[in-house]
Amino acid sequence: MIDERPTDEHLDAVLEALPTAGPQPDTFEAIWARRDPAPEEAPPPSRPRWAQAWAAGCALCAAAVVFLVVDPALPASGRADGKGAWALPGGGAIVTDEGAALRFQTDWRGATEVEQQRGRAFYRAPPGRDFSVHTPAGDVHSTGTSFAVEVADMSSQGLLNKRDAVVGAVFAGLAAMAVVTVYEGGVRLVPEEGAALECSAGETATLAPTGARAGTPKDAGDEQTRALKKQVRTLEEQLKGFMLAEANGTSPLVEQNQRLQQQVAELSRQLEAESEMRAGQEGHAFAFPEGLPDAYRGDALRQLFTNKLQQSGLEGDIEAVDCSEFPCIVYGKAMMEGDDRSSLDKAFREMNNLIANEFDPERHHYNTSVWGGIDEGPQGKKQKNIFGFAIYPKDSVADGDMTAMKRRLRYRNTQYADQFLQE
Amino acid sequence: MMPQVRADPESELDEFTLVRAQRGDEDACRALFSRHQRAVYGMCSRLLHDPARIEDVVQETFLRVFAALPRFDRQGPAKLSTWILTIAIRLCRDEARKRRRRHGAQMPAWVETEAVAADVPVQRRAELVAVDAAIRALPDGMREALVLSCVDGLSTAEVAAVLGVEPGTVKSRVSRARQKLKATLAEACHDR
Repeated sequence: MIDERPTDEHLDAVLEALPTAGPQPDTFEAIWARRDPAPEEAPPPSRPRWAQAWAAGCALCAAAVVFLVVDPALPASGRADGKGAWALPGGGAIVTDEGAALRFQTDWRGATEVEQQRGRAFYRAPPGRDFSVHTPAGDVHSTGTSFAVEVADMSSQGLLNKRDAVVGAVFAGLAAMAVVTVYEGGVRLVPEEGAALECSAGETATLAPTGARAGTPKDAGDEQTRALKKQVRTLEEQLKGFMLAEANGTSPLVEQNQRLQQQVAELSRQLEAESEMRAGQEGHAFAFPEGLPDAYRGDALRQLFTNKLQQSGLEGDIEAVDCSEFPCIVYGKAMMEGDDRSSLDKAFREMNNLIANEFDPERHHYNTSVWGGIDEGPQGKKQKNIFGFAIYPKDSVADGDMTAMKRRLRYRNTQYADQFLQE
Repeated sequence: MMPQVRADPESELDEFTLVRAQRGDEDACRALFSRHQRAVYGMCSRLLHDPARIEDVVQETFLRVFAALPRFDRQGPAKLSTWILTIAIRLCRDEARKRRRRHGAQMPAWVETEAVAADVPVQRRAELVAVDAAIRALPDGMREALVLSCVDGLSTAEVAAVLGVEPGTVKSRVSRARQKLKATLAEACHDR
């Protein structure tokens, strides 16, 4: 007796032969056009300001050491307008960055006075000797240390970045501001007004004519932001209380009005989303190509589909042939028992192939079929299913338009389905 | 042993092209797309009950692939093809869920189909129609495992990685799916 059960090889052969269509030729272009532009090279993770300053200080130190080795005959006074490095008697050093402007003098006792107008400079104070930096924002007195001072003119951005400068405006009315970072030992910050501030290794402080405080300008800004947020919360609480009182008191329309406003806002959002979606879904209509054979037009299609529907054994009718634009779509209905999707799918595919066989395969007709059914209703009762077929010569649509064509067909079918649902 | 129907030994992109694609080179990305689009498209077209939005899902898949490509670990355990299919399958599931949520049972499920080529023998055509319909009727998990394994040609381990399940579960799902398909085939043969 011959075993007629399909073998694995038989099933594999069928699976291999299953038709698989790929995306349209212009799909990659569509994707490439939709993608976000190549992101900028991601900046390295930002290190804390003190770490940046430490790294910069180390680099400047290294530069200074090189300079000292190369030119041991160094002046005890000087002026900097840009990048430079100087060794001081007793083992001190001054290293300036681009944009820095300062002048310095070391007296016979070894005490050094620096006037720093702007920019960033790194200092290593000679051990046991006085060392002071005077800035427009105040004075910095070393107590045996290495440190950096960055002076920003508030009328220009200086070396501080924009954000620091903006949040630094918490020091209202400043003409200048300086950020001091201490690497070793300690310094004493003396503003024109207010108390002095001691600052030790690893700390950063902000110096302004109106005062000195620990942290960077950003820290100060954050503090002000927190204060502002607190004010906003308080105001919100007050407003809520006021509105509740209004709603419970003399004006009952307030709550209703608010509700209506919310509804209007929600509907507006929905409308906007709907409009955007519709614009994307509708696509554009296609005109009938010149010389299109009658086989692709209304009456011929209606006749053909009516015949094939009968041949396929489906119980149904052709209800409409939509030739308002290219290609024509033949719409019909089919009745099926219950919710037998598998049988329905199979029947429609057979009908699909019956129709495809009527057209010349050499012309590579492109065939799209659609079907649908309403799942509601008692089980076992016949369900009305609708379908739509569009068949057209493949070469009647340019490769680049194929995606648009499919989108348009989808839109037209959906429109038809909506009407069907409303009936 | 389960034969792999469409295993493609050259399915992985060469290292050089992949590196260029990771740097955003358009030609390299096009090559990547060309290499993997058919698998993604084939899988999506069989996983979505209503594949009216297959094209959209395929496009979204590769948009995400290109966006995340710089972070793809070439030395990592996942092959590029497996990684791409993982992204695609998640999007297919999301799309199916959205569809069900949006329309519930009220909306007709529009299905777009390609006609079986006219030069396929009549006998085979009937089998194709029957098997294609049977695949669509399989439960989601079984259909996913079958499509990835037997249609896209992934190994059991790769299917397990894409679906996030144990290899044993994959084997079991594929085996049961094949039994159902063989029953469908037997019925189609009997009908002739």
